[in-house]
Amino acid sequence: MGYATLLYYALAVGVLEGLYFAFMALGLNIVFGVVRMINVAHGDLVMLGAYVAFMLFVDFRVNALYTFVLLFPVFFGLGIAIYYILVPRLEKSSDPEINSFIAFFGLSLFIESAATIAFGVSPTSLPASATVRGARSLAGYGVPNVLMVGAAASVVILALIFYYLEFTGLGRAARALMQNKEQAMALGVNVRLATLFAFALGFALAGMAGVFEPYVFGYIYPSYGGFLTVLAFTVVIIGALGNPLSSIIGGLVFGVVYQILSVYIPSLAYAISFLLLLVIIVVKPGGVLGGAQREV
Amino acid sequence: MAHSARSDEKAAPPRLRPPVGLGRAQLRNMGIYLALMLALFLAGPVAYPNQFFFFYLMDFLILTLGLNFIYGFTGYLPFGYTVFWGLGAYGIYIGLQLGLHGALAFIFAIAISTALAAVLLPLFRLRSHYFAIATLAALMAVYYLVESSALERWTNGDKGASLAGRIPYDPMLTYYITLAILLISLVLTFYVKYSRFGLALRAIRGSVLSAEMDGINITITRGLAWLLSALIASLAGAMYGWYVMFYYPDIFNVTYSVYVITYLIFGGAGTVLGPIVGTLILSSLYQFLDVYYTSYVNLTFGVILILLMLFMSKGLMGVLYRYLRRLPP
Repeated sequence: MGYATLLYYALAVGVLEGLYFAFMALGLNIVFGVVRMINVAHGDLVMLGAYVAFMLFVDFRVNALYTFVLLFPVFFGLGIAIYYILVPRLEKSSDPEINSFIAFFGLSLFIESAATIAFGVSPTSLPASATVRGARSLAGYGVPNVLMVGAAASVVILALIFYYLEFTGLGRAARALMQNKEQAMALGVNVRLATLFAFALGFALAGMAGVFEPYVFGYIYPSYGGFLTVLAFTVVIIGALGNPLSSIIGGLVFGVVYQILSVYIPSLAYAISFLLLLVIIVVKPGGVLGGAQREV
Repeated sequence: MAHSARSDEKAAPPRLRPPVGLGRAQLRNMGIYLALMLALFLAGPVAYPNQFFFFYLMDFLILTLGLNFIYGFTGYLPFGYTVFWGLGAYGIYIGLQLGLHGALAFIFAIAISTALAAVLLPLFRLRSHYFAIATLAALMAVYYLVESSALERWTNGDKGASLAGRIPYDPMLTYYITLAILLISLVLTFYVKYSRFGLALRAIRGSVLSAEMDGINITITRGLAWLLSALIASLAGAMYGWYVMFYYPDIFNVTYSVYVITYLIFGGAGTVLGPIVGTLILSSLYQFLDVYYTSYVNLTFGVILILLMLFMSKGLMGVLYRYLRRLPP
């Protein structure tokens, strides 16, 4: 098994994980696009979703694929509650962009430490028996079946979101808000409802993404959320900020680049990923595929 | 304005002078603050013999004052601010590994930390939350670089950096040097707040565009505030490293940044009294919780941050302002 087969393996796993990364980052991008706030607690919601799947499996032997569906209404409801607590007041504040960033950071700290109190600090992982067992051989290396199920679930979710954005009234309203809020309001878009739905949807997607998190990253612990947020942000910005479907490209690029980095220079994979994020933000703040977002 | 000028053309137009320079009132205030700080940190450890408590308080006071230059006065919030603090501490170890001795290692630490700030200068082209997240990415990049086994020769990776036996351990001396740095930071805060430079910074905070129209050199003014802010953080970091002698890459944890930001906003960003009061109250609370209810520290700070942003984004000084109906110091 030379470097070449290893490269095939890295590419294949990179694509599978990339699809998952796209799904994991999707909620962050939708919330940013519609509400113009960076949900810094996004990764913490993913972490919570992973723990819900873990607890339901350990305590009640619930297959995590059922949990995956169940998480949608639960986190959607949570999103509605958080929306009413935070968003209207922050929108009226003196500097919504930075104040919301700080407030969501507070939410992130809160979720993280509440999870620490509830679950402890040590990492846990979801056994393969919680979803699907087995592995398939690829270029001489084993790829767990669950990774493929995760990628398939991600594709289904991405397709549904495409449907929502293109063919439903609420989705079209969301897209109108992403492009130009004033114009959308002038054309009679129900801003409150469209924003609320998109915000809650962002939460629901984050929670659902949590089910596959332990399989892709190997483990989960309460303070992992902050890292997941920055990773999701990297994926979003490799695509375009405020354009949810560009996250697919962002996810695939990040997945493949990250896999190749971790195969050839594992000790610097994280550091290089964040340096990459830094460079992209400076050079193209709106995302690699996005328009100009710069100010003086 | 134009109308009143026409009505009495003969009267000389009033000479508009920017409110700059330290007047008698400001000098008196500065004297009071310096005396209070001296009294607190000289008498404190005698009354309550826990030097680390007071050292930690001073170190974070310096950090909050440092952040005040760039967030309070200039309006940019670097969410990864403590990267300079962490590098100030780690830089000593890296300097020692490179073969530098004693004071040279300290100078090296402060130099690389401030140099990092210079490298990050292009971030100022970004809008507010992009700037926030970009500095956060910088913090995480440095964290993973320091923690990485690839650079273990210089950083000792995730096994932590120990200065024991390589530089003299002298908590008393460190304590007094830190006190001196705190007093200097305070004087600088007063100086900047009431100088032309500070006025220019506040103009930038108000609007970059109109500040530029007023003939302010944005790049230089803002850059100087940033470098000053980073320099202060790296001094605090170097002192922290020297005082504790042993630390992990965890020093680059984003929570330290969040604490400093919370202290500053809780007190009132852009004021002199705000960062001091904010840090004294919340850093004491932090240390108390950290000892007795460790797992509730971040829970408490999370709630404080959310409540601040929802109901008190101008901090205690904002409340004081509403109550007194005049600008707080």
